[in-house]
Amino acid sequence: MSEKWNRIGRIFLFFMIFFTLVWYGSRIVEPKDNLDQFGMKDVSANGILSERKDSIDVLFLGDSLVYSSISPMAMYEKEGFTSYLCSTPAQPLYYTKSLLERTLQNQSPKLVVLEADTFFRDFLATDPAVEKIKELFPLFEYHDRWKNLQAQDWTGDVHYTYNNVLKGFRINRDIKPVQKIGSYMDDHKKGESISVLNRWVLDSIVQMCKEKGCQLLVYSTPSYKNWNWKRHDAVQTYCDDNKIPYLDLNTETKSLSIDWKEDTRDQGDHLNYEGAMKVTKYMEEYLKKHYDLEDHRQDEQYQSWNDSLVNYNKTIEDRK
Amino acid sequence: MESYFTVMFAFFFLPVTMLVYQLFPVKKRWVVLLVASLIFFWSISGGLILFVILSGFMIHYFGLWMENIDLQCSSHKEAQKKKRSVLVFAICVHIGILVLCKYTGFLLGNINSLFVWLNIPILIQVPKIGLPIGISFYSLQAVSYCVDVYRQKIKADHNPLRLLLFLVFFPTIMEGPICRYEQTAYSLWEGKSISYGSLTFGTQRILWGVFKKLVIADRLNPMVNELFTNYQNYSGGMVCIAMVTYTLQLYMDFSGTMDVVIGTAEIFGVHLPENFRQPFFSKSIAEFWQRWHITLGTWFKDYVFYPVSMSKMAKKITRKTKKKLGYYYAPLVAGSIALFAVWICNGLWHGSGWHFIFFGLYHFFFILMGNLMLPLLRKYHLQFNHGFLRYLAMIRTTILVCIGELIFRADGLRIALAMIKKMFVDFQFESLNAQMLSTLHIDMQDILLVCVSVLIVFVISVCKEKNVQIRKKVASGPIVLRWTLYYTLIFAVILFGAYGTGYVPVDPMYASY
Repeated sequence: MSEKWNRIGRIFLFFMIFFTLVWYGSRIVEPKDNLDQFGMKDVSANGILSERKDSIDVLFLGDSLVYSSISPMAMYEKEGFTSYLCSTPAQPLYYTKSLLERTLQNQSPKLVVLEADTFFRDFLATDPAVEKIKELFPLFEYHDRWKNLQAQDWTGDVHYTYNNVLKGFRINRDIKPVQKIGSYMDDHKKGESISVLNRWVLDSIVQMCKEKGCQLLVYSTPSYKNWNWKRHDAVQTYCDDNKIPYLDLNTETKSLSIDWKEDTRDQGDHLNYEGAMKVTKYMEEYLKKHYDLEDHRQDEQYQSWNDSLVNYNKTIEDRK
Repeated sequence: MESYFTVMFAFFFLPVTMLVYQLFPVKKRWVVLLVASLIFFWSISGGLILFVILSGFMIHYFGLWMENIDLQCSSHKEAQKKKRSVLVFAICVHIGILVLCKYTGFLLGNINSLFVWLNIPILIQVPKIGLPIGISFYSLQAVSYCVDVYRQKIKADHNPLRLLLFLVFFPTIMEGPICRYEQTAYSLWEGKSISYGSLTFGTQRILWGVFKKLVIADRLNPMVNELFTNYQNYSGGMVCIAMVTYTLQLYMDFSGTMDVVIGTAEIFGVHLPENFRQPFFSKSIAEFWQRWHITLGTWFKDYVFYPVSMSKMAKKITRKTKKKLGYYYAPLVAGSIALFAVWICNGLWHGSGWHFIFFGLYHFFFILMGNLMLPLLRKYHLQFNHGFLRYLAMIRTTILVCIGELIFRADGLRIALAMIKKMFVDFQFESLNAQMLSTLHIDMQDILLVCVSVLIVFVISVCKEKNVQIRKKVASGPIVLRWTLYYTLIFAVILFGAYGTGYVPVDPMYASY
């Protein structure tokens, strides 16, 4: 019996030491700033970490369709509300949830806007758990940082300083038109129903927004390659069931004046800068009309946004 | 669940299987292993699971059929004759399914090329046929069971589920080792309890395998892919690096997966045969194949080489040539015919393509040369087993093996030959500047890490070669030393493993053969 307890004790001690080492290793390798040179991943989306506490009114979440179609700074310039895009390439929904969770620790957005393309991206049942482990122990996410650890990684604290003047938006002025323009909403694409796993994550996102008092809006950005009526119906049904407004801009391409010969950078997959400006204009008007969003342009606390706006306009000019 | 190197397998499937296995009564534990194996197979191959189930039930039936013949026939000769027909039928069915699934595209492609060459305006459509995971492995196990029953080496098993478990046991289904019925079937059935010893020893072995695969093999993968895909853009020296690094990658990947497989089985108290024995210490190609993928080599020896070399025709050839060629070379003629059959089969087993056949013939050539030159070496007292010559022979064998692996990896025979030619006519090295390293998807830290890791594997291989029982020594050492080693290995995998963001998961390489 004592041998048995001895073994159990040793196993317990082994794992205690193991988790202590993992925790300590995580502290060492986690990026000490949200800049590329500090090893931070998804820098554009993680720029939100250095935004002032409770300064973001609208939080956009989703895959590359988001950062290709919405410019928070353009909306700020016109309407004065602040927004940020936590969008990353091929973002799976469990990662959307993780970004939301992390953002809500420092921000209290009035509105969370979810792009619906992520609802149809499949993932493994273990992926959300792996993401959680990576959150708890950044050692598993940033293990490759052993290659360029600096002195401050061993002793320094985490301090985020990156000011992303584009607020998550990515400028791309390329034009690669859709070859044969037809009625893309009637095309059948792979994965046209929301899978059980995605629905499960989606439910938890809805719940989280309710608990934190954030309103939720689901939207679909115009995408010739990715969207169709079946997907629209699946999202509409989910939103109706959960009493969430759904804005499908694919049904509004005419009023938006989206020209698939001019407004896409990759044959209808993503919009380019011109397309993004059309969507942004529509979105800013829609949000101002339907939500009570404050104008911060004269607010001294938002001076950094006004400074960023100058830099933003300069960046847009430079990239013409 | 694509392989053993997934979170799903390591942190869900395996622990749950272990827990359920341990909770079940001893006599019913085989059910847990069978169900787990079928789930594992299904998660990778889906509906193609029917192939392996069919195979399991067929070999059960063929075994019973041969046993019945033995019971019913009074004459041994007559029984053997009837049993032979059943055996031939059983082999044809299994090899037929293997050929259908694996080689239809290759065969029809060649027939189409022949039609083009002969100006015959016919194009046969190549059908898409699904390939069940591990078909090359479990088909050989099925054939070995039937032959062993025929040879009365084992008794026919009356339990079809035991046979199915023998074929489909989840640690072995992807990459072997190719087990014999008498080696594993009953230990799978025994339901030994998972003990503290089996758990720790098994886990250690798994960790070592994960280290070899994730830290070395998978880290080399992007560079190897780049060099083999765009070899035209690189000099002969870089092709040479591609050849060496691919050999290293393949060895670390395959032997690492074998460590995981054997370790996993060890947890359940099942001892699987070893598939590797320090192959790069071989002094000849023949010896190399006794140390590399051992279970495949012994399978071909037992079920192709011996039957061919002991056949009536082979004996006749030996008799006829004895007077002209003498006592050494006469049996070598029949032996070489058998060897040729073995290497054609070996090449084809690895894949459907002319470069695989060439890969087999390449090794056949060097083994044949070794056999032919043996009397000459003896005459001049050239011994490769001692001193400096021993190391020279090891280096020579390694170089020949590396060239063979280049043929194996290249996308076709023409490309393989072009790459070999490049090594000889354009042997120079580009400078490894930052731009070149970036093109190769590797950096100096990666190179340093791989070198240190390979050195560790090398040192351990030397110890094993000298029969030092490392695992037992570690197990009997003081707890501080033991735990330090375990933590070092675990954190080496966590920190230096090629996994997560920025890395493409690499499935075990032999799983596709």
